[in-house]
Amino acid sequence: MAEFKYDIDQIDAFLKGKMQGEELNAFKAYMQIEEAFSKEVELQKDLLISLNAHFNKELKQKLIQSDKSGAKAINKKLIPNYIKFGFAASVILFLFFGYFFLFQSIDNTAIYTEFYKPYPNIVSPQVRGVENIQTDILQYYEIADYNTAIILLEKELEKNDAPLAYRFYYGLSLMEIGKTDQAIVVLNQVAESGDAKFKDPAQWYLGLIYLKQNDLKKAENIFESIAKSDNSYKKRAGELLEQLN
Amino acid sequence: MTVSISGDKDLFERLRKGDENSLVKVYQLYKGNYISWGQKNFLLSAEECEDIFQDAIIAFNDNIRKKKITELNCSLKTYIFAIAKNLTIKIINKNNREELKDEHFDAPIEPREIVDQMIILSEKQEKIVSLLKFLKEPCYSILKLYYYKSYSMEIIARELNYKNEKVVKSQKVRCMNELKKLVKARFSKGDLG
Repeated sequence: MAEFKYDIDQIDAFLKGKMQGEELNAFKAYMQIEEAFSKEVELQKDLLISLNAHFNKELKQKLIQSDKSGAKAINKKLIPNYIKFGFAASVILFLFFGYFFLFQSIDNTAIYTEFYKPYPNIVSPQVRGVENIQTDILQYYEIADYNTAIILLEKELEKNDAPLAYRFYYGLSLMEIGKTDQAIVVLNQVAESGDAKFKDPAQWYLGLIYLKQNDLKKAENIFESIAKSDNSYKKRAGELLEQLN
Repeated sequence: MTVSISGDKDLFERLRKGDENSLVKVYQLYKGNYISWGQKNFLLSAEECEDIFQDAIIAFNDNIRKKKITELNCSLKTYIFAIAKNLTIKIINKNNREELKDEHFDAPIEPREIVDQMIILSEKQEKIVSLLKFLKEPCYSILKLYYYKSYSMEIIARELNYKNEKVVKSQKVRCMNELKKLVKARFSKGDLG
């Protein structure tokens, strides 16, 4: 930089739009006559844009990570030991089923893994009251304690006016611990409802359950139906069908 | 200027100081609302909404860092939702998915204020980004605090335990020279234009 008339701070000031008047005109004129300097400014601009993009990516990862660590923190705070042991047992059960299905449908496992992602808890504390949903029940789903979520949701679903959200997360919790036959019954009930917010993902997860069970005919039927509709999973159903075929 | 929710004022001050934990808190606070809204109004999947909302939080942070917003005349939620809405519109227009619905949205913010966030990187810039992981301390922290968080040399000196701002300034120049050397060594002259 020593060979140029302007230093790095002045280049930064120019790039950030903080230079004006005669100083700005002189800077631009110097860029015109000094090609090497013009390239130096261009490189500095690329570096600043790249630094910004890199740290933004880092921040995005932090946000994604916060979903996981936030769940762990809630787990630590809320869950007594006996429930933790229950959770551990459910994990073992889940791993057992996962292992069983791995051998049953080895060809489709890769596709399933690629497309499967646990559905987030979309019922935030702000809207729970509005939708008549009890605080904390869905937190157990959120922290992946599906056994506790199932116990609590079953109680709620005995009531006549139980919100559809409960049935939806009940079906997903059953799916998560490997009770796929029960999950199919429950998610079918949600898929037949008129509420697209839960109907659309219910259909998608039904298809994924059949795929995991290696019941390709039923899986394809569901994904084809999603791909032809206005379902919010339309695009991904199309991509999944392409891979199946 | 009026701040709609008193709690937002404290939070906003922390965000202005570059507190990323407060930003994560804001993200967690409003994420669920946005996912419900995005699904209801735009038939997006929850995962798509999550992704858009993360980008909206980053764009919001950009606006604070670049001092495009210095004070709030609406709630944080309204402002962030306005950004998320603009990003949603961009994505839906790109995917040509459905006609947009604006009637469920109450954002008193000019779109121009918030839409120019997602800069598409050139091939050269992408290559430079891939090199930044090789940047070592203290350069990584100094460049992040100076260029990304817009901290003054005085604050950086305090944060990173330097004797004074002059020492940080010299170190920052050395770091940028080191980065340029790294970039020039990695790419041919042609790549660097």
